[in-house]
Amino acid sequence: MNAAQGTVGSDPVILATAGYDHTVRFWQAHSGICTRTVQHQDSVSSPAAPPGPLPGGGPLLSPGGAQVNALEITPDRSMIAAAGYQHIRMYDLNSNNPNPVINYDGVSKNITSVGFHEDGRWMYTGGEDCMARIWDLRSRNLQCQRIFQVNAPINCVCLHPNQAELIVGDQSGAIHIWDLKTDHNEQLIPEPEVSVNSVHIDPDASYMAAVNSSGNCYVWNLTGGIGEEVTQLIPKTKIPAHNRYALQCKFSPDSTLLATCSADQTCKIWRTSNFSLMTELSIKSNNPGETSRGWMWDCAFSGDSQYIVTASSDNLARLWCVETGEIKREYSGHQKAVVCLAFNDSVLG
Amino acid sequence: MDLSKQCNLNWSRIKIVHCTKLDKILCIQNMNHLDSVFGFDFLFCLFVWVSLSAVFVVLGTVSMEQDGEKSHVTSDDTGMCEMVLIDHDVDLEKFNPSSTYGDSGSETQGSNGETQGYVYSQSVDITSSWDFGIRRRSNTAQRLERLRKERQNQIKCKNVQWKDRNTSYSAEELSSLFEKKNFRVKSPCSGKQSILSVRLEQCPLQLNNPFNEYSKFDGKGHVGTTATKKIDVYLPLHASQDKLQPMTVVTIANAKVHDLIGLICWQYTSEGREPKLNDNVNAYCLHIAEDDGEVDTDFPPLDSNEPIHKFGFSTLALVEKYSSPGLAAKQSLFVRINAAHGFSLIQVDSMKVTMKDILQKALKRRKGSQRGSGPQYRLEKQSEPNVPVDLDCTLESQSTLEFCLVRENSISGDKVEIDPVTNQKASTKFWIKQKPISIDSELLCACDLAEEKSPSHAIFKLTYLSNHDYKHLYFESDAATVNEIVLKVNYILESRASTARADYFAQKQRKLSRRTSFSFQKEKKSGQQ
Repeated sequence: MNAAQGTVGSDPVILATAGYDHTVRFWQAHSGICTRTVQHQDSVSSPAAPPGPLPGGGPLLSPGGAQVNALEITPDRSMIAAAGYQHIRMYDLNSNNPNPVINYDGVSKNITSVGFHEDGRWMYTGGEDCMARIWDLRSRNLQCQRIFQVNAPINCVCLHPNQAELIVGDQSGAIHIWDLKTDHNEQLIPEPEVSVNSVHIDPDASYMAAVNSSGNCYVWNLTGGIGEEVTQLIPKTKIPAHNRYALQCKFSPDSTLLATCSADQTCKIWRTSNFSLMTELSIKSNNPGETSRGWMWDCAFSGDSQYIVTASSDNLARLWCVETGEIKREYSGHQKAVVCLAFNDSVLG
Repeated sequence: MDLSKQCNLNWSRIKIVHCTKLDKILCIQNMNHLDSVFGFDFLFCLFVWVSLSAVFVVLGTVSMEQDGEKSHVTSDDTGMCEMVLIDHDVDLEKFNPSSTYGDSGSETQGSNGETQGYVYSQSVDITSSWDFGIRRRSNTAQRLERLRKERQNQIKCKNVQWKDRNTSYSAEELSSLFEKKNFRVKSPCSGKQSILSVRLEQCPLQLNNPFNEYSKFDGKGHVGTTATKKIDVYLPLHASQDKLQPMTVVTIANAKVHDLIGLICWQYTSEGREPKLNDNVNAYCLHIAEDDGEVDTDFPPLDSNEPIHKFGFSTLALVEKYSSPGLAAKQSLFVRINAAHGFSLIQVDSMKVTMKDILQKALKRRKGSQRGSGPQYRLEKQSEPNVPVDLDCTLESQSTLEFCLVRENSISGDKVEIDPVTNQKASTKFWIKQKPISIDSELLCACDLAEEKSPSHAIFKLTYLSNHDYKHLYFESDAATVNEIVLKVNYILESRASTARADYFAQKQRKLSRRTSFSFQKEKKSGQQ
């Protein structure tokens, strides 16, 4: 590690990637240099009992292992959370400590999704144990600690910009909207029995998007959600985005774009004005004989929506120009598939 | 790990030239592996046994390898099997929607879980990828080590268990705890550039690391789970640095030396170090280094094809392979000095250094030589033998970076010093004495041309007094040199009146006269007939 550089947290641009190779790597995004690696080891104890068969099908995460399922940087940029099997580990961004500083456990099975309240008051997770949890990070008596239970393993959780509604997508194809203030919840099932893999709401709370294992992307218009107003979801469109599993969807910070990642080796970028395809970012080989190079697992836009970073199972993360689809940087170093990333880019002015 | 196969592979590669040092290192390597299984006493006996049987091992190589091939190998050291499984199914394993889960039968449980669900229920990352097939259930010591490390790390790490909140919320409580924020208040950030965009504009060229293919040998993330090796590498000296600082590299243990060089170059480049390296990995080689960074020249560079785990050295130096003179001035220069015992690489700061400095550095390197009292040396260009280099000239003027260190004035008035240079290409005729000898002129009796086979091959004989005996030494060289030596020595002998020489000739006369008298007697006898 170059002694001249500061810690990851001191850099206004933070890019982190993780996957199956027991490490979380931090990169200097504009140069491609890996500046720091932290260990995400497997715990030596073997899993307690083999899980039973899972209905409906969907992303099956095997027991044990040190893979990271999700990464999220805390809003104050002090730490990064890595969600794995039965735990969430927090790593310090303001030092070079290669080991986690906090370990959250007491949950069974894989935790698939993690996020934070914007003030850092609490952390939310969703997992294969069919529960979404709110972990109180501040108060001693765990005021905010809560559980929301559904009937199928949870693949994704997303927090509404109003910080009080949690959107949960599960393997049975249901999308739950859990109102934290009133404790009410409602369900949407755009495509029954097809696992919902990712949900996201744009920063303006104008749209909500969800992608599933059929490769479809569903978009709703959002209204209300402030003060006493209940959030309303009005179906807007269905995009047949991919012909294989769609794994991730993300809106750009300026809400003009929606990206979808898929097992078909592409990440497609759609205009939210009319949901037409703007760019296709592909890692497909030109050689027709070559089978899949890897799936596109995750993506994140830069602060000004000009660039996007993708994580794929060919062990690489890449930086692309959104408009031209040109690869700008490659982040190589992972020994195995990269399945998640976290990107925090600052905007000038 | 199949020990017998591992040991066989190591032993079969012992080269007799480096037997003594490498052999011991191999023993240590083997001991590291064996440590987990056998006790120390056994290791000691094994060490002694291996040292003693080194010669026999080389001879027995063929039979041992054959034994190894016949023996049952249970582990897949090549990693091919798991590569097929892993790379092909990594995504499906995570995402398998169709197959039934069935019994998990994970590799730690020896249950009868070998049913159809088995393949897909295997966790993608547990299987050993780069190690030698070390499996958790068979290697207790490694597991214990990991547990210990885990415990250590856990001590520093705060553990938070999930706790359910027993009391239920009232409506007011919920409202106050989970307020709905007015998200529309957020100021739009459209039109403004992000810091990443600015930075990308400032360095538009893709800083593609030409050594990316070697990044897979990086073992940093694998410490404790896979066999890795930590090495401190001394790099070519940067102009602004006065002191060498090593770069720490962690490599997967089964990488080859060539791969390690690639990894070093990759890490160097990805850390943004200057000056930039040559794109070609083959331009570099690794030498063993001392802890202070000095390159150890007793050993040649590490063989590119050898696996790195074979070597016990943890301090190495990356050296630019020396191919042609006058290399790029930016890189630090290494001048190669060939001498009787091998060669040295002298580091110089620039081409402006004088030959005198280089000679002094070279002499310093020659272990055991003392200034002033020892033999005199001179430098010659490798390409121009017998032409001494002007010591006041700069390195630049020489247009070569390879020199020979030659003993000057092997023949002086006081002594005859001979430092025979072994011709490596010659056959193993060891009648030429290896050690340099020094004969006091007082004891020198004669020097004669013994044989002149061809212009390139002549032999001269030196006779000297040693403990009241006359000893003869034969030396071989090219005719010109031999004649020169004979001439010089005789000149010295004639100019000095040495008693030893006088005695020698006197004795020789006596011998001759005895012989003649003998024959005379014979003739006399025959004459009398």
